[in-house]
Amino acid sequence: MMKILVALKRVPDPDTRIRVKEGVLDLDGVKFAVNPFDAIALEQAIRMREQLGDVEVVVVSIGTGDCVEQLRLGLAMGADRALLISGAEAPDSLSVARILADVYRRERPDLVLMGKQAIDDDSNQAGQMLAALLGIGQATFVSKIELVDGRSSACCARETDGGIETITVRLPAVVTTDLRLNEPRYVSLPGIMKARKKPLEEIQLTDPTLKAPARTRVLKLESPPPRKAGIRVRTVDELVEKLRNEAKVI
Amino acid sequence: MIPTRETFGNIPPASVVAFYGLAVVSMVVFGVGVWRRFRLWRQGVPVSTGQLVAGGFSQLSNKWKSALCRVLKEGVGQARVRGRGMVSCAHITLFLGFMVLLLGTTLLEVDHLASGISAGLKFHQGLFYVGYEFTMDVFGVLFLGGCLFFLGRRIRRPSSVGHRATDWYVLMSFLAIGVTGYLVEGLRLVWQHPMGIGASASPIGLLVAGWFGSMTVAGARSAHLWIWWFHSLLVFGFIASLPFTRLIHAIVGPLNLLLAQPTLGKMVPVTVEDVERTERIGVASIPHFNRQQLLSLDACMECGRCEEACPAFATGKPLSPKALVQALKGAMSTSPGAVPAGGNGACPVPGLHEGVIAADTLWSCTACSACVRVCPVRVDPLTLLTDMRRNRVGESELSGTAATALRRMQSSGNPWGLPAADRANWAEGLDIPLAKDHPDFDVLYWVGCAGSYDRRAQRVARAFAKLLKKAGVNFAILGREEKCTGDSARRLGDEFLFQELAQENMATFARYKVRKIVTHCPHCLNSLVADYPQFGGNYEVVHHTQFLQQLIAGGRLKLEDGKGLAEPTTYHDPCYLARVNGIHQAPRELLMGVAAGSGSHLNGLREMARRRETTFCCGAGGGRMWMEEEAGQRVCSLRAKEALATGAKTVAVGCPFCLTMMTDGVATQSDSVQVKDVAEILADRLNL
Repeated sequence: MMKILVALKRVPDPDTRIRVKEGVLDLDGVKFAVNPFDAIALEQAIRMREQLGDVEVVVVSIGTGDCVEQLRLGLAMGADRALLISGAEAPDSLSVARILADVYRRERPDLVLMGKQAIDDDSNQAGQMLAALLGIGQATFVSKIELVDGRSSACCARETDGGIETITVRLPAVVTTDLRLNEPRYVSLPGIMKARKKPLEEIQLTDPTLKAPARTRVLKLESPPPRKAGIRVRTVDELVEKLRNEAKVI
Repeated sequence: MIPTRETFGNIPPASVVAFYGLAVVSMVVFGVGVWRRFRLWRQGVPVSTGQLVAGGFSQLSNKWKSALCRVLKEGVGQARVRGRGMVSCAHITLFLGFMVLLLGTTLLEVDHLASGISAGLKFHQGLFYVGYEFTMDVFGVLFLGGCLFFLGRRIRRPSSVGHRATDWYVLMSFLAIGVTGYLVEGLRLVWQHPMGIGASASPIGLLVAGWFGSMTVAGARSAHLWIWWFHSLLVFGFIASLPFTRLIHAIVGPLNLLLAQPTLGKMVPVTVEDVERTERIGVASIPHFNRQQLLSLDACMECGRCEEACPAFATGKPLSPKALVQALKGAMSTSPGAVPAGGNGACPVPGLHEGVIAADTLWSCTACSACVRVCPVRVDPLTLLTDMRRNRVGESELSGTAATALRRMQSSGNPWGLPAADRANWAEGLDIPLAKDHPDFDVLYWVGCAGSYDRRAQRVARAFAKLLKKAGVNFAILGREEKCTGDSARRLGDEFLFQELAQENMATFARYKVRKIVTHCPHCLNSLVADYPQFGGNYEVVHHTQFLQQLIAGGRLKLEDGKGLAEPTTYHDPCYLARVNGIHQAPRELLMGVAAGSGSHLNGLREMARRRETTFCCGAGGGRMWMEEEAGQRVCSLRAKEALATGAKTVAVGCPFCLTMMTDGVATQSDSVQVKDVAEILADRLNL
């Protein structure tokens, strides 16, 4: 039996507009969702189970009781069981990696799948740090995964700035997923109702090193300046003229 | 001498006994055959009999009256069989011939039994006899004519018509029954040799008798007996085999006409309690359909009308409504037949989604309702399909762009995933009252998601709002309080997302005491008209073309006289407006700038062949608006081609989805033709 651990982060719904009010996020009326990249990771795990058969998919989330909503969604998508790690105080990427490493040692999965980054803080660090803490291989920004060598390794296509890089990592490994890996399935109410019977275990953090406050602090939040309206040019010459003299990019 | 003939004349008593013995056998086989089908239907979920027997007397009598009227009009009257030229004619003649011969034979038996009781009860004589024999002769010809036509058609075999080996048996046996019937009559006339009107009452029989003119009476009697037996055996064979051939539609068809949902565009609600009780939603195996749905599968004759009307099939998608019904019928016939204990979700029968109906088939449907409308016996492939979609969505088997649209409807209340706060952005600068600032409005303008967020459809909303203002209508919009009606969600199979959105919208309507709603979106309109009342939301809902038409009729909007269409124009009927809700006159009258009711002045419009109720989908319904169209040709290209073939320079539409689709379809085929909403055309004409 192969085991895949998928990390799910609760983030503001990507389709709701986030406002900053007096330096803090205005979460009034904001709905929450599973980080879209994590949903892609979970979709991948479920597809691997559909393809291979004997695979257990475990989802884990770090946070308060609110995260149960996202874990239930993960169970409804098809995960077999869920873990809620509570008791961490506003963890940063390193704290998350440490907690996940602890979960890893407990669960001993063959593969850890997670989004390349969360869409709330866009840190893009937890996966890499987790692999480093555990001393196992990693493949990041992955848009294609295939298990090879009798499921002992994963052949991964990575989306880099220069193009697609294909690497093979020995399992266990941490794989972080990119947008083009798949399109996650849609979960509706009956799916969530059915998933209520699946096991969801809450683990209270007791280890003081794991509960330790984050080392990074958010100093300030501000909205990006509104984009100026575009203009329509009539000719290529006019475009070139504007790019050269107004935008000063050529 | 009173013209008559002896029933079982020339038939020895032993043969008569054998005849009745075989008649009983054939009817038993018939009964067993029907019972076996009945058992297959009984696998399904019981149709709530409350619907059929609940309610006050007048309500019930109305319900049953309309159901029986349907059977009379569409069964006996063959109303839905019409419309296919020669084929319809042939079916009607075959049907009439069959019915009259069946009725005649039954009457003959009644006469025989009656005269057995007392000779005085015999009625098959005199004037009745003459009329009877003549009628039977004439309808026999109709029957044979229909048979020959359909035999010819089986030889040509159009691709949309289903074919099985037993079809040859059915038609050949019909033909043989008809021919031997005339032979029996002819030979009878030879040995009986009636005179005067007794003979000429059977013109065809007399003609046949002429062929045997040289026969002796004894020879004729002998041949008569033999052929009579052959004829009888054929008839018994036909009766016994009826439930095992396509002919079962003759019984199940009218039954389905009686029981089927008579209106288009409606779906059956599911409650959370239903899901908790059954641990499933929608249909994953045959017993999950209701009994009427299963019965309807046997009503299908594979005539192929649905397939010919289907936009998905026409453009090479892996969906044919006929094939879907037949695949389900096949699955029903091989399903073990046992009702799972308590109707639970743990289904002992093979799943439909594993090999019977492909996922691509389910998601190809545009829910345009064309297949449902054309079916002569009211089979409803659309509901069969949406019930299966519900299951797929419930089992988290939907991904891709449609899944994204549903997710956005859930999180943002619109399929574009744009903020609710931006919902009234289209109205900027038009000074349009929001319901919360102006609660004393007469009519609510329901803008819908497209009108609110889609750049192109926003221009329609602006045009219509300007027209409303010009006419001085006391209206308001809901702005950020409006949410998607949930039409796409429901038709994609997410019943509970639809219900959630509907409940929120109905709460908003209740808050503002909304009674009358006008909308430019036929999908919103249908949802408000057909879906919302199922949850207690009853409103007067009109399409913007109807509303504008009323404004012109009432003199509140004035068009300059004689100023018709500026350039050649065609009108594309949206499915949910024209076919499903029967609204197709108002937009035309509006386009032509003529008064309501004077339909004869509409001939300036360049009409497409498929129009009004028979309109052809643009490809966006049933949630297809939110999906990529991968297989085959694009539906909108096909429809745009039809529109362009009229020579029109403007393609007028009455639906924001049609607007998007037709614009796309036209753009790839023409540079000079524009696609516009009727309201935009009217606003242009009034220089707004």
